[in-house]
Amino acid sequence: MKLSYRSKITLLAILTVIIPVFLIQIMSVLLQNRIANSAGRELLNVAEDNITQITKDIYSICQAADEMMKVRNDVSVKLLREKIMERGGASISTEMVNWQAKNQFTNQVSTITIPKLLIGGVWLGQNSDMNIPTPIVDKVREISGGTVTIFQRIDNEGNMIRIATTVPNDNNNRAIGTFIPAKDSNNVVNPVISKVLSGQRYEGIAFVVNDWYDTIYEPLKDKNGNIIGMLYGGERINSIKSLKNAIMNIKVGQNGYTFVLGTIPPHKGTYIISHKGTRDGDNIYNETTNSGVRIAQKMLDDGMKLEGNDTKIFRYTWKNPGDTVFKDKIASISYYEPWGWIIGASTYEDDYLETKNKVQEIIQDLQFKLILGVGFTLILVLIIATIISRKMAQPLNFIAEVAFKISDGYLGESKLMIQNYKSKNKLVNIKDNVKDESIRLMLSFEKMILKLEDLIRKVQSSGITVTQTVTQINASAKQLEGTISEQASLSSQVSASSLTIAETSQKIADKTEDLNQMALDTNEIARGGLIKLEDMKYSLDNMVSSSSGIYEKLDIIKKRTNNINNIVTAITKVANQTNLLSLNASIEAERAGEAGGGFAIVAREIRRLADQTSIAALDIEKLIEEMQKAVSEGTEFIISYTDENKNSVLKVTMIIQEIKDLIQRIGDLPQEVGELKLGMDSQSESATQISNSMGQLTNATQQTRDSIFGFNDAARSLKIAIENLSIEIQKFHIQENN
Amino acid sequence: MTLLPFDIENNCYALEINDIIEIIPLVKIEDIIYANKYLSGLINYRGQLIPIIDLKYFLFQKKSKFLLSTRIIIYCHLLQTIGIIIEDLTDTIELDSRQLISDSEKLSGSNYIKAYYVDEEKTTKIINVANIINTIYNNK
Repeated sequence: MKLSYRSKITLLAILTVIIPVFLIQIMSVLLQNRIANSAGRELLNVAEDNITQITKDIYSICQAADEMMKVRNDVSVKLLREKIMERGGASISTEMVNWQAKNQFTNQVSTITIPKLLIGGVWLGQNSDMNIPTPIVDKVREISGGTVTIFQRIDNEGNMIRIATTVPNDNNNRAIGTFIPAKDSNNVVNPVISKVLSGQRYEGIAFVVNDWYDTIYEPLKDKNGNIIGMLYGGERINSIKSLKNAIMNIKVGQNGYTFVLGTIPPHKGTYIISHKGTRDGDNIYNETTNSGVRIAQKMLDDGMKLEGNDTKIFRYTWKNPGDTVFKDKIASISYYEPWGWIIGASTYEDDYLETKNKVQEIIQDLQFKLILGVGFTLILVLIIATIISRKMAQPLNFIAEVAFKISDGYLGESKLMIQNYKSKNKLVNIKDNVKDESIRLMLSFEKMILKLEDLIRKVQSSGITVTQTVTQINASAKQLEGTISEQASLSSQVSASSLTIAETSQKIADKTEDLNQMALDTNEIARGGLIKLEDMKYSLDNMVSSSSGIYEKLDIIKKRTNNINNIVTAITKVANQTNLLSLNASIEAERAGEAGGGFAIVAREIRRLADQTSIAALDIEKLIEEMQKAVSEGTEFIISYTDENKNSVLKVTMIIQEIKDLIQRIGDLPQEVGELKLGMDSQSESATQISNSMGQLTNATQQTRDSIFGFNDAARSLKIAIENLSIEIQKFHIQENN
Repeated sequence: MTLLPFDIENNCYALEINDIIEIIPLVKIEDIIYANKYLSGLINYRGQLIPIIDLKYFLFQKKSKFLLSTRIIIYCHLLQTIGIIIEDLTDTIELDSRQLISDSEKLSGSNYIKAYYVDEEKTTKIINVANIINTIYNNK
């Protein structure tokens, strides 16, 4: 990753914050469902426990109510029997009476004629009006509060008809004339009848007229012990409002409720107690869940197998009238056998799942807040990381900049940059072992620059020295080259000259014969010249002596003119004095005023005279000067003329001597010419040898020149290399003041 | 009136004759140590020591040449007697004082020029010796 140092630090900080948070987030998402599920499960468990407990409570309530009713029924039956006994017991009359007998199960009415049953010899009549008192039964009801009935046996089969009762029928009349058939339509023996006919007491619930009652039935015997009827004391279960309300009003969860289903035909699967009593009497035996299970049937089948207050849990879907959809339900049931009640407490799973949803919501809220917190922390971290990274990166960036400067060669500038940076950040007196690595790096950079500068300075100075040396070498090489070239050309010339000399020598040698003859002729001419020269010398001697006389006379003239000069000076001085005098005279005349007028004129005249004298003196002076000049020139001329004459005499004397020598030598010439010829021959030979040697020397020189060319090239390349080095070095700008 | 004309560095100057006591030839001048350079020295004038000023040096900072025509003018101003060395002093000029042009009219600004005298050939400046003497004595 090509990221800046700063970005990396910032990224690191951000990752440090984000990664744990990200992990926490993942964990929380993973755990969310688990927590929610387990919470849901726990809640359902709680719900189960709750409904189980409720079921058990209802069971206990029923049990308590049952026992209470039993006590009351027992009292009712005992009171009834006592009252009958008080009146003299029951007996069958011979008188017949008609009854509109109504089967309490089938509601079939048939007219039967049976003998009157007498209590203490009195017929109780056929009173169906609640407002008209019926003896004995009304009295017992007054005392015990329960319902009581006196049955008369209709036939041998054991059908029992109510002849006196406090049990109301649907019209709230006394339900006399209704009978309990000994066998129902399915030919099943009625448990109450069979029990009573066998002379035993029946305890339990029984369908009385039109409803279920907690009952006690006892046989009614005549004096002979024949069962002529039976006594009933009972309590309509539903009549205990508090029980029904107590069961109905038990709250199960949020929307749950309790219910009681009947198990005894014809009320098998019928609501005895329903939710808020709305469905009391509805038969749900065949109602199904959404998957088609007859759940009421199942509850009844399984529930009736339960013993005591054992409970059983059912899960199913259910739809009450008014509900649009099936809802998941959980129900606990127990079976109160004495009444044949399936007691149930049910609740909707949704009620508990709501809590689960709430847990889920709380977790999501937590996640959201976590993200918010992370966002805030992230911003904080970003700010802090930015500040820290800037602080960390700033010196590094600065060092990078310095490094760029160094690479560009601006050493001095980079040094200044570091010094400025140090003074700006108060790092001037900082030590090398400072903890901040970037500052340490910077210090080492500073040291490096100093050393680099030193090195470059040394290289530069060395470069200059080498360049100078190379330039000198170059110049020397060029000079040498020139010299060698010159030498070569000279050698060539020498060689050529030698050849010429050789040739010339040969020619000279050849011409010496002619020379010999010419020498003899010359000798003759020279002798003639000598005589003439001697005459000339004599004349010249005479001229010298006469010019000496002229010189002496000119000298005398010179001395005389000097005397004249002195006189002129004297005249001048006198004229000057006169002038001075006249000036003073003028002053005096002026001072004398008008009286001095004539005197002034005299003074002026004197002054004019003096001036004229001066002018005359000046003229004389000029003339004398010219004369002196002429005399001097004459003297000089005579001196030089005399000198020249003397010189000429000397020269002529010398020439005479030379001519004499010449004549002598010319005389010797023929012999010398012979020697010369021999010398010339040998010279010619030597010259040829020299020419040869010179040829060799030229070759050698040529080679030397080539070598020098090579050397020159090498020196030039060295110079170029040094110049390149110096250019490279010049790229490094070091500070001058150091 | 009578003027004493003379040339210094090709300029024509002149002195009024009035306060001049005498003109004497150049005599031996005694040096004065540490004196101003225009003060050439002292001379014995009739038994009296008087200071000698070199006018050329005073005006042009050049020493006068010692020629025959170089003379000393003995000058008396307000009882102060001094000598003035002047080169080439050989003539006099006679003129009417009305021919002079006062310096104040031409405003040369110099204290040492008293008046101008103009003829057909040249302009002669008349030196104010009194001011020169004053300057010298004040400088002392």
